[in-house]
Amino acid sequence: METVLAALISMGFLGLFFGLGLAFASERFHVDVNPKVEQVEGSLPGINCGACGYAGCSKYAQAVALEGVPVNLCVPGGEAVAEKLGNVMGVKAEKREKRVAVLMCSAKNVKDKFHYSGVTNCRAAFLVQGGQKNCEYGCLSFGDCVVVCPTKAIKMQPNGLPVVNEDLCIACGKCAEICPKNLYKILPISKYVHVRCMNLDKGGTAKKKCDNPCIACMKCQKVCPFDAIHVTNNLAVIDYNKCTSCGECVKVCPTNIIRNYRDGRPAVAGWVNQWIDMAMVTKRSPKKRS
Amino acid sequence: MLAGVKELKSFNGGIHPPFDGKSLSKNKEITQAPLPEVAYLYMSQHIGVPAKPVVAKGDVVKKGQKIGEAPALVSAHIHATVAGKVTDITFKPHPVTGARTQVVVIQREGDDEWAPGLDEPQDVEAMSPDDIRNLIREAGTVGLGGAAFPTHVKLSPPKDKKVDAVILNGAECEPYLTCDYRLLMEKTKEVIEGLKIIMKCLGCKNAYVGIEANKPDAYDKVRSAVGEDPHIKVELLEVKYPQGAEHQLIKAILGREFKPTQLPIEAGAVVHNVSTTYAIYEAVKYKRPLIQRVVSITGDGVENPNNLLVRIGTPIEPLLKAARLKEDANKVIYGGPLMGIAQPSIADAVTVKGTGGLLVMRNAGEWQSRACIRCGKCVDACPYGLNPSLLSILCESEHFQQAMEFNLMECKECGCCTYVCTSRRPIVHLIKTAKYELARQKARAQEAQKAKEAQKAQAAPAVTATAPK
Repeated sequence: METVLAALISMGFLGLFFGLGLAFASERFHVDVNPKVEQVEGSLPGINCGACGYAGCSKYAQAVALEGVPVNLCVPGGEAVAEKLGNVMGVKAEKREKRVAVLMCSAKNVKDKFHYSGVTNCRAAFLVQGGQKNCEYGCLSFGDCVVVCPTKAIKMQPNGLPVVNEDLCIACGKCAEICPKNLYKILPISKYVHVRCMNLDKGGTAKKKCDNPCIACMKCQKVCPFDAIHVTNNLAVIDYNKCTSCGECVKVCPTNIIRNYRDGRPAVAGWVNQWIDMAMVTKRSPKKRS
Repeated sequence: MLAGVKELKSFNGGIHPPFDGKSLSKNKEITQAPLPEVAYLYMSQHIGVPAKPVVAKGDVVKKGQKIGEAPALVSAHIHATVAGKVTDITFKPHPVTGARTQVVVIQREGDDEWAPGLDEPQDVEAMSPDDIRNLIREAGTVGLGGAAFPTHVKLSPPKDKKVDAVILNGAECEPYLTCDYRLLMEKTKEVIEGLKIIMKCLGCKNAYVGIEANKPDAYDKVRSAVGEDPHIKVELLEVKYPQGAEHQLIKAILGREFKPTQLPIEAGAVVHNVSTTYAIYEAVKYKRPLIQRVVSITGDGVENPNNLLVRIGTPIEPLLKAARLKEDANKVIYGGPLMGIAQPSIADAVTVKGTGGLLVMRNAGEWQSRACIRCGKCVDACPYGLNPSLLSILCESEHFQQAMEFNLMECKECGCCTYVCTSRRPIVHLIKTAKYELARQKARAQEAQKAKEAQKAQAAPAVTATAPK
């Protein structure tokens, strides 16, 4: 009985001692965190994709709470998160259109100009004479963008061109950053007519290298009712501020590189459905701290 | 023959292939190559800012006339290498960098005549160092060892740095290449004269000539050409790659070491290669711009390896055909096998200032690279004391920042590690990719910073209105 009592008393004192120590430390070394930062961070998806332009969710949360950065920058969270952040911060979230990555290349039958046997990624191949492909502007088909995509929205097709699943794309821009040929553009989803070529060669030269080049025939420029498409440097370029995606240029393009992206989608729907089940965002529960 | 030589000077690390291929073209005298019908002159044949064309389409130019003006200090002028007419100014992929570069196309016409004011003997004795520097700059001379660094920049050291040794680099450590060896054999006096011009320009009293021990006849020739001059020492070096790299040469001859990221000027030395020194001699003594150089056409892919004096901008296909290209040749490399650049096709490629050799390979095969087994051979071979095995692993898994901590930037891409690798890993290629990616990341970060600052400057008043504290 005595041993039990001794144990109880000694353990009790020890517990009291450490408890007091902890209580003192928590008061003495308390770090003031703006509660809004925590609230904002709790409302963010927490996948640290970087699409907002900040290095992760907590950095963006700090920027929102302390620097007054707009609340609608979270891409994967979309409108729902923007609204939540707006509630926390007491501002009204402006609507922000979903944007997606678009590959500006529709290479077809582009032959290799030499046999490449180096490191198998696009950037390494690009360092060797600008890549093994005959077309020096086009896709190198090693799929760096496929590897880097955080939501697995990009997949390599058998023809050697990657394709972007618009439903999964969160417009983080990582593919645009990694592509050594700068083939990706991040564009609003409402714009779905694109000139999917970057070739600046003259028509004849371009046609020898690829079955699907922009040959700068000017047909699109003539037919455009909104003066939104212009051929500069042997390449048709769309001014997306003027473009209404009416599709007139798509009808006249002789090499089929001006494409209505929506029309092309049923062709990829088979695998889109497989992938759509995968959760785009694993949502983190808000942090609980007393 | 090599009496009196006790010990060969050398450095740590490095490699030497069992067959160095020098015997193929070693005894072939330098001959003038036929002039090109059309010369393609890239505006960027050097390290630094590309030159700007100062001629227009349709202009008639003389040999040696300046057609590209250097817009900055670290840049070099470009001169017409044949007399003729400018038929086009366009963009073409560069044979070394692969990037689209401006190129002036000249169709050869009329006599091969120098432009006025050129090709006149000059009085070197009466020149000041600045005169020499200006002549070299006007001649568009660059380092002809391969890196093509503008020579006049090397000859203008910062005022607080003292140069007490000029080194003439006659090592020619890259296997197969023999252009420097032939110049040493045939133009010994001129090269030594060029070395004296460099010494005068830098105000430097001591000079060294470094020659690898596999060129004893060149060593003898240089010694007899130097004669009794007490200021020029001729040193015999161990046969090892990269003996001709600046760091290794300075270590071997002067015993001084400096960081791989620093320039040789930190060690008080300036290194010039034999071809460059000969070009300096031509530029200063005769006011001849750099329009031709010696190119070794060699390798087991040609039946008749030779050393040719080739005008810069000559298409390589006729040169190779003249050397009797074998049917099964499957790889053409600009430069040597270790640091050279393989060409995608012989139809479009033309020579540039830095092209010291055209190496044609016959059995260039392909291999599968495997995982690193950490045998440590690359660590032994690395002349810069790096750990290439670790760097390759970090670069392969894209841990670029970590690779930076292991001194990625000190790698000079000499290729020793890739040569010795038992797993046949493309170590240099991985390191090059990592450096490229890091440079892009840096550029992107700077851009983002700028954009952010601009955005902040715009958004600042609006924010205080909508989100009061």
